[in-house]
Amino acid sequence: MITETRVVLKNAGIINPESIDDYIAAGGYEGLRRSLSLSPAEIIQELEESGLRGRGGAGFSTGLKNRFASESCMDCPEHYLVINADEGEPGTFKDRIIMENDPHLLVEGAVISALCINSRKGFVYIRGEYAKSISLLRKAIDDATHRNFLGKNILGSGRDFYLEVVLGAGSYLCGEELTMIESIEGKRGNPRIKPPFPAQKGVFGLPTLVNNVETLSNIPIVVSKGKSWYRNLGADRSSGTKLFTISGKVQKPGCYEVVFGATLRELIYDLAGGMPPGRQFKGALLGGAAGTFADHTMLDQKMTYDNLREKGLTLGSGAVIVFDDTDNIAGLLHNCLRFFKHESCGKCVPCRVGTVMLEQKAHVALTEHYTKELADEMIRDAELMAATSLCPLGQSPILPIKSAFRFFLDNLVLEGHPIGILD
Amino acid sequence: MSIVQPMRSRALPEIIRKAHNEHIMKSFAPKKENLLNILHAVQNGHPNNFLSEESLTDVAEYLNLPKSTVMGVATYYSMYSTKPRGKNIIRLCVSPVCDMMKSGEILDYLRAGLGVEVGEATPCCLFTLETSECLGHCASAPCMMINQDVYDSLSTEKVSKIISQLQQTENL
Repeated sequence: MITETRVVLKNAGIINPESIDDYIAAGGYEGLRRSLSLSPAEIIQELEESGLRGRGGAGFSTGLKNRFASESCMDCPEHYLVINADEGEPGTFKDRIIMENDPHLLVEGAVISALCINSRKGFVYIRGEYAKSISLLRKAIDDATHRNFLGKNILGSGRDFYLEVVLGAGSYLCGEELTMIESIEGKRGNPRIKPPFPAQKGVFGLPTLVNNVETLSNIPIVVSKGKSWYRNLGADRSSGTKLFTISGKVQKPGCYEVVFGATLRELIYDLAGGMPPGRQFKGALLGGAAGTFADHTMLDQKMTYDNLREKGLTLGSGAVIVFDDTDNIAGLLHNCLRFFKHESCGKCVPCRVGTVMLEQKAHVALTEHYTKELADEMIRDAELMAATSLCPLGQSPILPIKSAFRFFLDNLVLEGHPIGILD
Repeated sequence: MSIVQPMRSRALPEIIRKAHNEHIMKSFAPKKENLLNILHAVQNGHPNNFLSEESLTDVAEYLNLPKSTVMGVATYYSMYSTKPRGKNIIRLCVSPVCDMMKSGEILDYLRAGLGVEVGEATPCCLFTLETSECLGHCASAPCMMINQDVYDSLSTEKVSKIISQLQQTENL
């Protein structure tokens, strides 16, 4: 039986998120004070050795990413920090939970990150729909500026850092780092060709570090508790804790923070209360629409970056969408593909045309059963898209498609009762 | 199915509109990177919750950008509308989790109850019905937003109460 380990969420539900005094009384901004006594290189080393990896989905070493951004173009007039708070992956709400419960933790993480890369200006790119997060974060920024944790000459250190809030406007694709940078510059959300990476050419062509809310919220903890403490949490090559958002057919859906290494079964049965009475576990969609399906044979897999990758699954953002024996997998797959069609920006032909074709095929299959031939055809289309699209959106449909057919082909061939919400 | 009149925007006199938009825009520096924030503010400042042709011209002039650039951005992002909308914008989540928890039934209920299709406004201009991708309230699905407020764990009974409350407030 596992239980939650609240590290990032240690203040959630305990302190008043609007009160900077509450945050300080709970040990807040201690990580920043410690960081100001260290050199940027020392903070980066601390992050690298802690084993902290990006929580947005890619799982890249946060320390290394900071190092690349800090060492890029030392003569450039500015290095920018971008906070990715454009949470839009279906089934994911961990960043919202952090921002609504402990916005100062994010602000503190951002300032420490800015110190690492010698940045004086940061942008929080936040979903336009997250009204509560927006107002709490704006207040946190104002209060932190008033107390001199942000702004000019932070705590008398001679370092400046300003944080600006940019509201997204309903584009999932803007959660992708280079597209987000385009959007911050006031443009349509079309992706850029990579390389150059943001660390080389980001906002206004200058070196930029883009980090997810959950990643940044771990930074004050690493710095205040120390790399060894942090590294000792976790399993395999996944240090620290992870926020999982468990939704769908479970008794207690919600956001749970656990030390890396918990299995899918433990998340669903120990934390989320298991299946509703009389229902059987059928499967789960891990990591949202741009994620992978898993069935009961995967229940005892450890939910770490590397273990899931080895098993052909994704951790992604930490979304776990559970469905039972009464749910229609064809409907779920169709909804994921409808989502990609809606969110494709239209820049790359394979994605613009491919997402429409895939949605049509999945739609037909809602009323007429899937066949082995149709499954092969859809996998082939999605593989072609993955190979020829610029950004992760066109590269993603292959994930749910291939995994759905891997685990549920028999079901999908037998199923065929029409649902589907927007026909 | 009821017949829905195309909605008219409450057009303001030229001089008032321009002054109104300028008042909203001047809290942002006239830099291109403020375009998204400015469009949000101008849209929220319009009684019909949308970006009119004239408002887009005002924004383009303020930022010294071609109007096509401003139009391109305004039509790319789904939260902006270039069509007049009702006073209350209902955004019902239709993403996989809400779909699994029967947001389809809520959508049918809203369509029938309001007598509009997705993207349309009620004749009284009180509501516009829209759908949305994941709103991040999956633990209490299905959910919707009306303007800035989130309503979750929806049932048809709950939706009926919310809508009649808003109608009553309007009639007071």
